[in-house]
Amino acid sequence: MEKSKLGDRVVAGMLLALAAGMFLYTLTFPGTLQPTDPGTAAFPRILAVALGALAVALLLRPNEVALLPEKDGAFPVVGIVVLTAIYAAVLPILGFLISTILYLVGALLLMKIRRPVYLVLVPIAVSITLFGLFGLLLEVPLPYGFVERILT
Amino acid sequence: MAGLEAVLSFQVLIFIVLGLLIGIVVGALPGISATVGVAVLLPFTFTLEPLTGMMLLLGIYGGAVYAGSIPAILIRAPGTPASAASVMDGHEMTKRGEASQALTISVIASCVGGLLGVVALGLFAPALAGFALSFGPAEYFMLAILALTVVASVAENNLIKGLLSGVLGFSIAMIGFDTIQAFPRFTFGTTDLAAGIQFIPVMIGLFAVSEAILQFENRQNISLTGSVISRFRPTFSWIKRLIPSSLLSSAIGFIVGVIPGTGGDIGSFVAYNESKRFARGEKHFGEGDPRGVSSAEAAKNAGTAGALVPMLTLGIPGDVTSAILIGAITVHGLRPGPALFTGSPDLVYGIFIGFFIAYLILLVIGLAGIKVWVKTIQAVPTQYLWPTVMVLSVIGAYALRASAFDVFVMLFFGVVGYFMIKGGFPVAPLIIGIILGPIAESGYRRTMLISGGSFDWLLQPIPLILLILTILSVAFSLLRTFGRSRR
Repeated sequence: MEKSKLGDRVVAGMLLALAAGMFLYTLTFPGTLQPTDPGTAAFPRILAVALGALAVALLLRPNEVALLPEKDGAFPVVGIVVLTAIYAAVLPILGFLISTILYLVGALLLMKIRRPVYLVLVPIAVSITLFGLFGLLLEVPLPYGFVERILT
Repeated sequence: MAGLEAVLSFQVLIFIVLGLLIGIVVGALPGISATVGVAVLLPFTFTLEPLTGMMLLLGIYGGAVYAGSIPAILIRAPGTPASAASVMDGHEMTKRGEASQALTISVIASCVGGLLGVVALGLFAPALAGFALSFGPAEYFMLAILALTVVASVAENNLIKGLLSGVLGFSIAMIGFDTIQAFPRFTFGTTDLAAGIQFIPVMIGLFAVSEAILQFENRQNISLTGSVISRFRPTFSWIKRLIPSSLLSSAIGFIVGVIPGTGGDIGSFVAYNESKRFARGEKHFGEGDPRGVSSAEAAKNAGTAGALVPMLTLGIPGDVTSAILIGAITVHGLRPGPALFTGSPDLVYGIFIGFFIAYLILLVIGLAGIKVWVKTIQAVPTQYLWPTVMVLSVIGAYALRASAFDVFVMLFFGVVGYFMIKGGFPVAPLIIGIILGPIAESGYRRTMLISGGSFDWLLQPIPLILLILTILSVAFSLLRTFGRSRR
C-alpha cells in the first residue's frame, strides 16, 4: 500500500464529524445543579471543541501514511477480526473449549499453517492448557458449555 | 515490616519468579512488548491477592523490559520500545562476535538500574505521597493536563496526532455516569455503557489485539535462529569500566521515568546520549561500545521504577505499563494516590520490597540462563503465538464481568489501535487520557465549585507551576516540529 495524505484527511474528516456529533449530543444534557458548577456538559463540550480544532489542524497538515493493509495482508486482517467477533458471540453458547479449538483452527489457517497434524493438535493442546491453567487453577470465570460440565 | 512479611510468603515469591519467567519470554519475542504481556495477563490476577497479583505483573514488567534487549542485541529487533537504544551498540558487539558480552552487560546493567531505581522509588515515593496529601482538585486537574500534554508531545514526534489521541482518550472517559451529577452521558440508552467503557478491554484491545492484527497482516516468523552464544565470564576490571555509565544512566533513567507519561523508553535514549557525552577515554559509541549497552540498559530499568512514582503517589501513570498497573490496583477496590500509603501500607511497601527482590532474582536467572533463554525463544514459532495471544485477550476481556459485550469493546479498540499504529497516531496518550479523564473533569468542576466560578486558582503556586510546565512541553514540541520541517 503506497503512502498518501488521503489517509490522514479521511481520519481528520471522521474526527471532525465525531466532534460535531459529540457537541450536539451534549445539548441534550441537563443544566447545572449549582450556579458555580460548570455542569455535566461543560467538559465534554471543551473536549468536542478541542477535538474539532485538532482535526482541522490535521486536515491542514496531513502526513503521508499507509492506513490500509497491504494487498496480501487484507484477507488475514479482515479474517481475524471477523473470526474473533464470531468467537465472542459463540463463546457463551458453546463454552470455552469447543469455541476456542474452532477459533484456533481458523486463526492458524489465517497464519498460513497448513499441516493437518498441527491444525488439530495445537488448538486442542492450547485450549486444554489454558482451561486448566486459568479456568481451574486460577479460577478465572470462563464460559462453560457441555464439554466443560462433563470435565468438571 | 508488614510489607516485608507479605512479600516473603511462599506464594508471592513463586509469583515473582513466574512473572519474571513469563516476562523474559514475552520481552524477548519481537513484537510482544512488556505492555502487551502485562495487558493480556492482567485479568488473570483478579482472583489473586492484590500484592500477589501486583508482583506477578511487576515480575512480567521487569523481566520483559530486561529481555527486550535480547532480540535487540542479537537480531537488531528490539523486543520492547525501551530496548531501541540497546540496538546501537549491542548489535554492533554481536556483529564482532561479542554477543555473550553484550547480553551479560545487559543483565547486569538492567539489574543495577532496576535495583537503584527501586531504592530511589522507596526513598522518594513516601515523601512525594506526603506532599501530595496537600493537593486539592486544582492541582489534580493541572497535573492531569500536564501528564497528557507531555505524553502527547513526546509520542511519535507528532504533536497534533498525540494530542488528538489524548483528547480522544479523555472523550472516551466521558461515557457513562458523570462523577458529580450521576447523569448518564453518551450511553445511547444502553445499560452496557452506563457504567462507562471498561478500561481493561480497551487496553487489551489497543495494545495486544492491535499488535496481533498487525502480525496477522505480516505473517512473518521472526526467530533468533543463527545467533551463537558462547560462554563469557566477566572480570572485575571489565565491570569497573561500566560502573560510571551505569550509575549515571540509572539516575537519569529514574528522573526521566518519574515525569508522567515518559517511562523507560525516553529515559534510555536520554541516558545513552549523556553517557556518550561524559564517557572518559576512547569512545566508540554506536560502534559497539559496551558502555553504550550498559547505559541504555541501566536507564530503561531505572525508568520502570521511576514510572511507578507518579502512579503510586498521585494515581497519574508514569508510562503506559504503569497505566495498566493502575487498573490492576483499582480492580481490587483500591485507589492509587497518597491515601494508598496510609490506607494500604503493606501493599505499597510490599511492592517496593517485592520489586527489589524481583531484580535480585532476575540477576540470578538472567546470568545463569542467557543460553537457555535464547534457545527457548528460538523454539517459539510466532505463527502459533499470535493466535494464542488473541485467545488470551478474548478470555481476559470476557473474564472481567463474564460479558461478551466487553469482548466486542476489546475487538473494536483492537481495530482502532491497528489503524492508529498504521496512521502514526500514538496509542499511549489515548490510554492515559482514559485514566486521566475522570481525574481532570472532577478536578476542574470541584475547583470551579470551590472558587465560586473564578479562575483565580490558576495563580496559586502549584497550579501555576504545572500550567507553565504544560505550556513549555507544548512549546518545546512545537519548536521541535517546526525545526524538523525547516530542515
